[in-house]
Amino acid sequence: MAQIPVVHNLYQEFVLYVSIVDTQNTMDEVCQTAARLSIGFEKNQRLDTPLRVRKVGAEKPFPRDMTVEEAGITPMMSLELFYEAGESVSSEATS
Amino acid sequence: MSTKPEPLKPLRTWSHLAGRRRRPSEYEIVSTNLMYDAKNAESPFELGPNIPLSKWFKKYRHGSPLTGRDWEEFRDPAELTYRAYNILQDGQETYIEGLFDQHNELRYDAGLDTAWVDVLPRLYTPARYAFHTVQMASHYLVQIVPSSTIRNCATYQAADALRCVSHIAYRTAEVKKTYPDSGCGTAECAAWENDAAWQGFRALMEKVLIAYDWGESFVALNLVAKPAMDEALLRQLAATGRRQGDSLLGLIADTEYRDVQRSRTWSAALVRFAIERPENLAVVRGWIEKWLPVAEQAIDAYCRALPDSPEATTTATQAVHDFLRSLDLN
Amino acid sequence: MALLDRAEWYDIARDTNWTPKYVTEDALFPEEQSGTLGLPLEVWESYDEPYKVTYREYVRTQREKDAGVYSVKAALQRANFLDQAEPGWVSILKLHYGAFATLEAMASSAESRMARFGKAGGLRNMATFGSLDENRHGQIQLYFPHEHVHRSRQFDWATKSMHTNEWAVVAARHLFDDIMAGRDAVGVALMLTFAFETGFSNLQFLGLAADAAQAGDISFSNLASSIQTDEARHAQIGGPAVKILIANGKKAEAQRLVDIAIWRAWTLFATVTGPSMDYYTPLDRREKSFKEFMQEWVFGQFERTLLDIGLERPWYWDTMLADLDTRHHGMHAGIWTFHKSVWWDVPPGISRAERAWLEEKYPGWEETWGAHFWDPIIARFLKDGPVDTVLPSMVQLCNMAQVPITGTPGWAPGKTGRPLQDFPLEHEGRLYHFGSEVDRWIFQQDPDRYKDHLSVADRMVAGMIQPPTLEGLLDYFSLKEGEQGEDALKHSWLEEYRQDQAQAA
Repeated sequence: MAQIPVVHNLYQEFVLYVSIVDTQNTMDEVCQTAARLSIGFEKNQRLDTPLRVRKVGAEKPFPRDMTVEEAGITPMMSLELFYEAGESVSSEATS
Repeated sequence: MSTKPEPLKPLRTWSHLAGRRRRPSEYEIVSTNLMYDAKNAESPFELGPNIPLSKWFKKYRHGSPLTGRDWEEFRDPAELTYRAYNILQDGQETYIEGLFDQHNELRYDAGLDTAWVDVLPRLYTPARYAFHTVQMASHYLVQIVPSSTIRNCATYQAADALRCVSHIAYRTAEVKKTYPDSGCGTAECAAWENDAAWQGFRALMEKVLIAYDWGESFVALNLVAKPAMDEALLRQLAATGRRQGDSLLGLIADTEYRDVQRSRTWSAALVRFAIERPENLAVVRGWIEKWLPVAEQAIDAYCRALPDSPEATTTATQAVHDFLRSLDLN
Repeated sequence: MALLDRAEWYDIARDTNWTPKYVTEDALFPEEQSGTLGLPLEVWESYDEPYKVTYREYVRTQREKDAGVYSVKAALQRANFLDQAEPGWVSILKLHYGAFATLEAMASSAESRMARFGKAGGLRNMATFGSLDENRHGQIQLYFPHEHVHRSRQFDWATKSMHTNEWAVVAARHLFDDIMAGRDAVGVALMLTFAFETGFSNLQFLGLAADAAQAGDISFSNLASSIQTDEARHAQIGGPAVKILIANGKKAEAQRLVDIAIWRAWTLFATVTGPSMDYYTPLDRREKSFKEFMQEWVFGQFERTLLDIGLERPWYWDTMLADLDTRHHGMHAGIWTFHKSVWWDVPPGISRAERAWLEEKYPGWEETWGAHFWDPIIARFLKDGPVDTVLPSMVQLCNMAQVPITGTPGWAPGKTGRPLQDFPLEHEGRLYHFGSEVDRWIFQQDPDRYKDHLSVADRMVAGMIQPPTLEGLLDYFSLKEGEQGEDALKHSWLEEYRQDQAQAA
């Protein structure tokens, strides 16, 4: 059990945050942390599909129940928190 | 339970001046505590300690043997601000303009002694190079000195040197109009580079220009080389000129000498300030011992070339010694 | 008057190059100070400054300028304009003086670097006047705010700012140490005078002067436009240097330096001038939007200057053009949500009327910044009451621009702006983050120059800021209560929304 900082890009948020996550957190828990530390999440969130986590530059997200440690996420790694619908954060369609 | 500190109240002046009892002058308000890169000896610039100029400043500013004072406490005795500088110099330049105008009206140049006209492109007009090296060296001080109050003094000194260059350039063009074959306006670079009369000052200033330690640069330029040059060019050349019937040259030199006095006043104050740390005394003396012989040779090389001026070298050298003695370095 | 015309003697005064003999040319002009890319003294003989001035002209003109500006100030001092000025205007002044006064003084050192280590006589003389100019700008922009120190401790930041590690100060220092204080003479000529001063300084000093006149602050308007007359002269030092580089096979190097400086200037002005123009300036005083000023001066005038001098548009020109719709809105959002972290009070600038103006000037603002950023905040404030620090967590700062990495909230294809995106880079085992591909590209041009720097966010993560809390951070910024920025309207703007909500109910 350890805490590490990560840089996260939350879907439709205005700024990149540095959040502290626990290495045993699952991807879902990472998303919950990010959702709390946001300004527009209530407005931005999609309810029809879960928020997923991937490393910046990667195609596929990590499994939802994978831990930070298992995912090989290291301090200050850049993560994208997005809604998977075959599209990336940067080209997400409006609901 | 912790008590919250009181919010900071507005002060009557800048927080860094607020501790003093008397109200700050305009000079203090606008000149003090401006240099942010002189405080961090490890990393003068935000980019970090390893960029080339960080290394330069660590070596030549923070690493100088002239050290151990809170240089931001230095004050220019004249408390010169930019505003005051231009008021002062506008007045002086108006006077010079009046001289130029008047002398031109009287067709002054036509009345110059022909032997003296031969001297001008050899010993007067090339001085623009000499003063330009002082301009350049003063600009080096502007970037390398460790406080904004010292920087201001160097800034105005650099401008004063350009002033000298400008007067010489003006007179060069004027004399050339009356004497197009004299060499004025064409022979100066060759004289500065080849004439024995100039090689002393040229060697001196080329070497001063690469004395990059801030303390050595200040001592070499302001205490030794510039006084030597000013005595030779603004005093001895002017005296010779007067004897040869060229009074205008002397009148110009006289007003330029006021700038010289201003430079010596703040330089002396900086020396006094520096040697309040006793270890700095030996440092300053050491540099003077190093540079003075070179400057004396430069004075001699130039002054011996002045026509009918057997006392010029001695007088100029004595004047430099008098200035150094006035610094109380013993 | 029987005086010579300037043209009869001007060239002699700048004909001051000589061949050194007792020291080498390299010793006299070392590369780290001179930056002349191996080009020897001879090739600089053709340097020709377009804006010529003599010492005599300089001291007279500047004396007259100062007499005018200082006497207007003295005459208006009694009027105590700031007593009645709108809060937004007071904030602009605190920001302006804190950001620029000390840096102007520093610029005199940069000008002096050119005057000592430039290889052209004309350049050295013009830089002598430039050094004097910046000496003036530092002093006059300290004298003016000193009148106001008794109003607020925030005005003290005119001299205090650059001695601190407040995040916006770090950003300003990083930029100016990159293009000015930490650059060789040629770099200063191209990056400070040509790119920054010719390209951008008009924004802050003419744009703001226009707004100031509108706002009724004649003293400041006079000051700013007077400063800009000096700028118009010494900004022209760089152009002829560019020409010489191009003529001697160094066009690529010149282009690169200019490209770096333009983008870096852009990110600073978007942080400082953008919010000032579009959010702080009272609505009925806004001459033009920030975007409109940028389009006129940078994408219009400066682009023409760039092409005239023989350079190309920067490779990222379209990216920068598109960024006009986004970056400064993000800077304002970041600053306002953490206004304690700056030394001026921050107006939100989002009354209904102001939002209508923003939508008019930036179509699509409402469906992005409005709906996905400001409205959620307003809703929360109406429900739970306003709070001082809205920013929920530490933000990641760009390792080049040193500002938060932002994007358009609620972005989707077809909407204005651009999505939030990190541009990471691994270099020598360390991970860097950039707010744009251009910032990352700048790093890659000279990694050794930038790699050792730690952003404020890096310092927090590395444990250099103790305690690692909000209070610890503000302490690190040297911002105490009495200095920390507040909401400039003390949340009174919320009333309009409260009434709207009550009516809707």
